[in-house]
Amino acid sequence: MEWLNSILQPKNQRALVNSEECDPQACYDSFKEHWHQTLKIFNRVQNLPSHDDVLGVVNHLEQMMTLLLYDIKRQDRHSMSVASSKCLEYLLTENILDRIFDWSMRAGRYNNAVRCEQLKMYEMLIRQSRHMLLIHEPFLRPMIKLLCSCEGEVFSTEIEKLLVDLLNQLSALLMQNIEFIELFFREEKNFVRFIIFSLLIPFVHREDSIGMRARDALLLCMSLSKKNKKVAIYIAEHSNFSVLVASGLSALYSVLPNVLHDIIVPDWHRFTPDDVNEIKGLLTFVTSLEFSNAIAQVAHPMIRRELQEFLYRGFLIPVLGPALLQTTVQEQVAATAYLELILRTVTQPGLLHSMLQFLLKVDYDGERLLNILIQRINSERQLCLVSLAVFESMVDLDCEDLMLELVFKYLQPCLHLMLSHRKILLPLDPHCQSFERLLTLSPKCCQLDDDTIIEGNNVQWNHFKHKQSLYGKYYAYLCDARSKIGRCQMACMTWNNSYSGEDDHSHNSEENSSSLISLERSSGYESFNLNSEDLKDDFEFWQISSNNNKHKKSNISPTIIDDVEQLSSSASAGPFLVILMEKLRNFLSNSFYINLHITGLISRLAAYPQPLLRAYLLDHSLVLQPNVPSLFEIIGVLQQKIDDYMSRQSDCINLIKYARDCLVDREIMLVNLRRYRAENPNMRKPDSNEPFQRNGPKRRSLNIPPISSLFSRRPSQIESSVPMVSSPEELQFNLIYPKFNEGQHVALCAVLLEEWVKELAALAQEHTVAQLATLLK
Amino acid sequence: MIQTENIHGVYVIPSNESSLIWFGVIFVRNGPYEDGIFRFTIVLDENFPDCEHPKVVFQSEMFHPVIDPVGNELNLLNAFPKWNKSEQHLWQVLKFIQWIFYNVDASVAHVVNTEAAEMYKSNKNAFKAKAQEIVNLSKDHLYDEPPTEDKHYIIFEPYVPEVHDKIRMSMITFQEEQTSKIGHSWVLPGTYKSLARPPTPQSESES
Repeated sequence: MEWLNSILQPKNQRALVNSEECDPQACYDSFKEHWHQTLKIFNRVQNLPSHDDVLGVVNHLEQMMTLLLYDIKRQDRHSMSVASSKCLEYLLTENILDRIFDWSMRAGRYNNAVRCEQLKMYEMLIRQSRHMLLIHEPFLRPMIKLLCSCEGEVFSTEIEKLLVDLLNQLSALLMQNIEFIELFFREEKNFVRFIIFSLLIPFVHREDSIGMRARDALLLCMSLSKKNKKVAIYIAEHSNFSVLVASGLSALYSVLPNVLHDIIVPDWHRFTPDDVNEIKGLLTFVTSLEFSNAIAQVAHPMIRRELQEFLYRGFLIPVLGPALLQTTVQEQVAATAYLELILRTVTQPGLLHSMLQFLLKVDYDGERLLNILIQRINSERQLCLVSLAVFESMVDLDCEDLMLELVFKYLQPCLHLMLSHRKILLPLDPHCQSFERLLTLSPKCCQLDDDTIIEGNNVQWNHFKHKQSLYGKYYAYLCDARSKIGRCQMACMTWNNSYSGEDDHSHNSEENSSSLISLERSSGYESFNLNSEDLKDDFEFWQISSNNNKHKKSNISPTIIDDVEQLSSSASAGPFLVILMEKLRNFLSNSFYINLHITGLISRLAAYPQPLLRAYLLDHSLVLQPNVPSLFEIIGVLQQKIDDYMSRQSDCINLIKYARDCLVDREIMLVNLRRYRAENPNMRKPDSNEPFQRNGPKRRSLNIPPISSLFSRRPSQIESSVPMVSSPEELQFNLIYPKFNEGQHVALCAVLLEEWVKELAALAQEHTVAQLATLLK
Repeated sequence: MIQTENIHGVYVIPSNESSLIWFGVIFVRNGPYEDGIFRFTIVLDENFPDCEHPKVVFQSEMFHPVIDPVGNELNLLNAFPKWNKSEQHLWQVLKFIQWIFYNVDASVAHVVNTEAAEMYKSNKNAFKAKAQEIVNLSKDHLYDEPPTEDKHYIIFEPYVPEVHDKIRMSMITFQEEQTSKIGHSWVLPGTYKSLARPPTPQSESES
């Protein structure tokens, strides 16, 4: 159809349209003349025209379109209604479109060529006149006939593109003029038809730009469903849309690699945007998932519910579940990474609910998936890393249900606390001694090379004034802690329980509350602490404070929990926290990257404002049951081990220097990598800036920018550990991922611990500030 | 306390010169006085709160059953016959001010402007017209020179796109950012049971 292309170039169009000189009468006459010529051909050859006949027709139609467009635009420019275009009027009165359609259906193998012209015409007319032409029979009827004739046909890319463009126009039009939906919607006894929708479905999984436009149009149709129930019912019940989407997902998942063979970088823990683009099939899968997510956001609840159901029963349970439960470690790594990606992509609450149901409620041989995943933290390096990544994403959701199942279910009964402490779980640590305590847990070997000493409680925290990095700057940790806590607090406002150590739902609460009133803070304004319901009628509107009706949980008043019988026997912080702490205990034998993630995950948990969790992690005055792991205790032990080891090293100071440089260089490299990506678009939004960089680069070491752009200064210290003879790629790789000997590894642990302790201390301090702010409100 | 009461449309600020004088303005959003922007001043007695109710005087001409046509003072005696400092508070006065504009019907009970009250009862249309008149009056005087040099006097200026558009946009985007990071919870209220509520709120099922 190349010859068509040459005709379809709108060479003349632009020139004509922009010319002001064209006489409207001449335009009209020319338009009529072209139509007459076309009619001649129609009348001469009523069936199966020749190549030349079609060429002639197409030519004429092209000219007519140009003139028509010009005429309409002219009307527009003179602020006249489109309908006053004489050419347009002629088009309608002569029923031109209908005649073209009829002829095209008899044009045999040239049908598509004429179809092309028609699609272009309709698209152009809609674009110019919006909904105005839809009320005209001579326009609407042939267009519907044309669309119906396209059903079930296979087209060339060009026609597909034109068709989808037209459908897009129509969908957008309907969004703004919902009343016209009836024109495209046919309801018979057992038969409902929404032609625009059914034409778009075949393109739903296409990867190219046509697929994208089709999905855009489908989303518009979905939004229509929210405005018009008939459309919603059609999509939900008469089209097999939801099934298609869910089965599509399953199909797309099944072609994903079962094992990720080419993970070279040691710190790879989740899919990056580059990975998504490079791994075969992953982009299509993610696109489809994002599409489902978008639908769930705009569609009618009826459709949304179907989507949730099919996602749950059609994809998660039958496909993803078994995938996660495969037997070899490599398979588990891949499946877990896919799970993490899905968790990050599916943001619409309804779909997220399905995900959570899948993780929390489905039974796989007596075990919940969540528990199975928790156990995998104890596995070998790669599986541990991806598992930690999944939990990082989960914790980041700020979802009460997840946190309940992971943490609060176990902490809430307060069995992990010594009896005396169960009475009072103060949310406030007024002098915040925990933070100072934390800072003293910093490995002492780290202070050797600077003139900084810990004297009692005096700690210097600007070790690195000369280095241009956030590293070592405590202030950065404070800012970061504040924003993390603030964000988390805001997100948790939708939660139902306060997890403050009080038993929110104890049946004794009525008895307790009466004694609580006397303890409740009462200023002069609180004189209305009577039951507001009773008194509402007696008081005038302006006398009733809206504050009385607010459901406030007072965290100040202590509650007595009287499950005295259940003592230390069931004391536990729950499997999740326990396993994390145990992994932390193995700090020195863990790989550096695992330590980065463990510390990161615990810090993120420590950002939660709920007193139960915050106190467990950061309040050193809290006395725990003997077999309940304590962060302070574990860090203390690590500090001691590290200091013991380092005191036996002769070049301790150099090792520490090296470790610090490593961390700084890594941070600089990641920042530059981020900047490099930001300057090269097609990348997704980068993660928020942390002073302490944990997330590593992508899976493979290729495509990393030149070394000079990675390091702002020459990495002189690291060169010494790299063998002289190696390929440039290897050199690059070894610079970013140097191999450490034992001494270097312990030094890295020391330095990492030092930074982490600052991070935790900053969190403890900022929690105090945040709570003071809430109290004073 | 006044802040936590969140009385919509009413803004007050103590004057710079004296904490016994407060400047206030109310934006009426509904009812016969819709679109009205009425300034008022609250005057507190020296011995406040050990005294009678504060005095509220409207700045421009008013036509309302509860506002004295001579002197524009709001009649608070009915609503606050006594001023007991442990039970009566300033925020209640503000709420009352808000109330009278949205509940003209009920406020007739506190009448001091009998003409207004009568018109309201017998000829609602005329009342509405008169109310609109004073609404327009208030708007006409919105940008007047301040009658006092007090630094806290509330001043309005016309909207200037070059100046104000940016701020408006940043307010809108701030609002969007705030709502972007929300947590989730399907825990049944009153329990520790996870995923006990339906995936999406029931209210959304009505379209």
